[in-house]
Amino acid sequence: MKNPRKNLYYLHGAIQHTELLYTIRQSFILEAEKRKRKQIKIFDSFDQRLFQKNKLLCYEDNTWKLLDLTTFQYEQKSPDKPDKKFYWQFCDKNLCDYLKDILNTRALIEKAIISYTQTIYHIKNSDKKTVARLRHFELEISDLSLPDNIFLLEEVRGYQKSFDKLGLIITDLAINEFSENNKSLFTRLLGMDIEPYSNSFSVNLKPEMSAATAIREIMVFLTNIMRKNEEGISLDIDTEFLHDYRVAIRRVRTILSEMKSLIPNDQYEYFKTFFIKVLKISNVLRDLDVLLLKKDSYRDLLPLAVKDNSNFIFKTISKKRTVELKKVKNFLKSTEYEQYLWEWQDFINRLEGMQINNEPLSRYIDIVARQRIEKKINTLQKKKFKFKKDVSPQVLHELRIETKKLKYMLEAFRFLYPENTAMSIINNLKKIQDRFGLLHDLLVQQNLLDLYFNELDAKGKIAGKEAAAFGALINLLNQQYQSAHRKSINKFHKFIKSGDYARLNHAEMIEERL
Amino acid sequence: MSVFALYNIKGGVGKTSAAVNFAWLSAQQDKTLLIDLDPQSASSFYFRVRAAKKHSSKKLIKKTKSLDKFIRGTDFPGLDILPADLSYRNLDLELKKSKNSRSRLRRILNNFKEEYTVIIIDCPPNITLVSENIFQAADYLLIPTIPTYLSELTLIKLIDFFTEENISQKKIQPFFSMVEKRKKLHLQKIDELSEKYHFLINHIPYLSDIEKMGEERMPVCSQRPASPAAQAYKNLWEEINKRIKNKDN
Repeated sequence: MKNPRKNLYYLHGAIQHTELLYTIRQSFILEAEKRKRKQIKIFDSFDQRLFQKNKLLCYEDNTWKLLDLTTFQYEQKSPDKPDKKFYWQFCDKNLCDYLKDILNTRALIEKAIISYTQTIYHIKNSDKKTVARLRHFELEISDLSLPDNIFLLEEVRGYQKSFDKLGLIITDLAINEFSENNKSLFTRLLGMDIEPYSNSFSVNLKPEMSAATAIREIMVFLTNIMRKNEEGISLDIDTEFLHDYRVAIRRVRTILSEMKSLIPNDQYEYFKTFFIKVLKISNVLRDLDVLLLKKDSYRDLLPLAVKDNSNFIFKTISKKRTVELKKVKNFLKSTEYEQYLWEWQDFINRLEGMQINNEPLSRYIDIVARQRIEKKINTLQKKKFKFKKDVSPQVLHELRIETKKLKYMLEAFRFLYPENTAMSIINNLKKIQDRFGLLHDLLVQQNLLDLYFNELDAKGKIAGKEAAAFGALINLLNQQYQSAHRKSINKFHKFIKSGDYARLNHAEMIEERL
Repeated sequence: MSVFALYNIKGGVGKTSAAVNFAWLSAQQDKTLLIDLDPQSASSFYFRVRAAKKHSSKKLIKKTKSLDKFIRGTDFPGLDILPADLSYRNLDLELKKSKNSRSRLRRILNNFKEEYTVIIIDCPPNITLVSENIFQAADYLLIPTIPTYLSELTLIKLIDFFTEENISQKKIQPFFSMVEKRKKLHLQKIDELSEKYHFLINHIPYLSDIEKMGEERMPVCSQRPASPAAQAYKNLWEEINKRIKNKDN
């Protein structure tokens, strides 16, 4: 069924709302409900995942409401307490499931609080039957560039003609409708950022750019991502801030190492050491985050006899996490970190100027990047023939690093290739990385648990049942590791043998473009 | 989607008044559609709605997918109505002509399950093919019953019909309607029938405020929310929902 239409208008400039009401009264009967003063709180994740899907999550009248911004219909309503940060804290199952799909581990942040006075007008025909509704919102906002009088005209099912007539009345008064043309106004009104944060690689590179310019563009983008996530890490809003921060650093490291022949060696070594240090400092915190995110699923899989005692393990891990978070927070606010970052940003800004004395930096990025990617593909092609299912962990590790670098390079220089080819290979590489990521996590988690158990044991701070819970969890992780290991090797074997990535080689690319 | 039908073999027992008020009460929480199946169109009248000129019993039965264009919004947000048309007096004939003549209404209602959480049907009296469709389509039959001998007889007939046709009797939810406590017979019948037929505890008294609805063309629950009549509908609707929740659990 088609939803009744709803149009949103705003008053700006000389027109008064009384003028609109007066004009409507010339053709309809207008009955006003009592004015109500209200307050609405708007929530979204840091990267505005809901708003990007045209949804607005708000809290009003002790109820969580999910509004579809294309139809202005409430899709979900759930009376509940306001203290919700993550999807799993919502009592209403439908709302919880919906938010899970979109927010995942992202926390909800209060984006705006809007106080307003609402008057509902019932617009009636001569038979005193309601044929449309008009909601008038008088917003209490301090930003004078934003409209403070908003009208929502609602169609009543079966009275389309009246709605159309009212639409014309409003348009004739030169009242503006919120539309794609003035989306930024609406975006700002809801407390949302016009250009929301995104961790996906979106640098607009051009083939005719010099390597210096392209590298600078990429590094500026990635450094901005790092900086945007620092506050979220320090405030411990959710675990994605650290994740995105670290991914940005890994991307920086990959591009830096792949382009090292173009930059002065001493500078390369200097910044490489810095980025390794940042990753090392945050390694354990990230590992503990991943472990704690899986807390519920791990607990569910533990034997009944030790399930309750697993709380002790997760409490221990939470305490350890607090310590690790403090280390990272201290590092992020240290002068050393600021100094390094200042030098790094200065280096990036000087890159273009370096071209004069450094010929390789002035080469076209198109050629440089292709050469590097082709080299990566050739390395993988050579290793493909040596790859067997009983591959040694060392070779596997090297291959994993190579594929990871290829993925980061492809993401950065995707513009060089036909979109579909590049995306399909990036997606395949992502799947492989996810599998190996899982393997890595399971192994690291076992080691961490083993370490913490030994620490507690040495201090005599662990009882029999709690020790058993530790043992059961390590055993469970080991079982999952073994099973994931077999599957990952098979998947990787298939990927390497298929040589799918070789589609990116130069000749095929030219052919596809033609 | 929950489907409630206000039904009784007998006419003039307060079906429409109850349907209109329950629909209004339901719309305070959930998106609700009131379907007026009675050709007298009293529910439609209460909400100041007339059926579209092109609407007919034939369209109701055959054009199930495009019925939404005949639905009208009421004066109350969240409450829509599919108004009745005089041609509904031929609904039986139209049903007889159609395939799956006994489950046709259920199929029609399926079109609305995405849009509405609650559907309330104001049914015409008698046991006809229309009623049989209602028995199949409704999750609950709310039976307004005046505490008199004749009403008891019609209730027994309905229960017997359900037994014969092998329809779950759990659907039948009778409640006393138009109760005049000053009448000894009413009190005696309430006493007698309550437990025997599992009547809902709350009842609707015979009150002039309910009769005034025709003049005001509005549910009493909306027009006079503090009145005893509105309170009686509210209490009964809450009891119905509670009983359903208990059953579901």
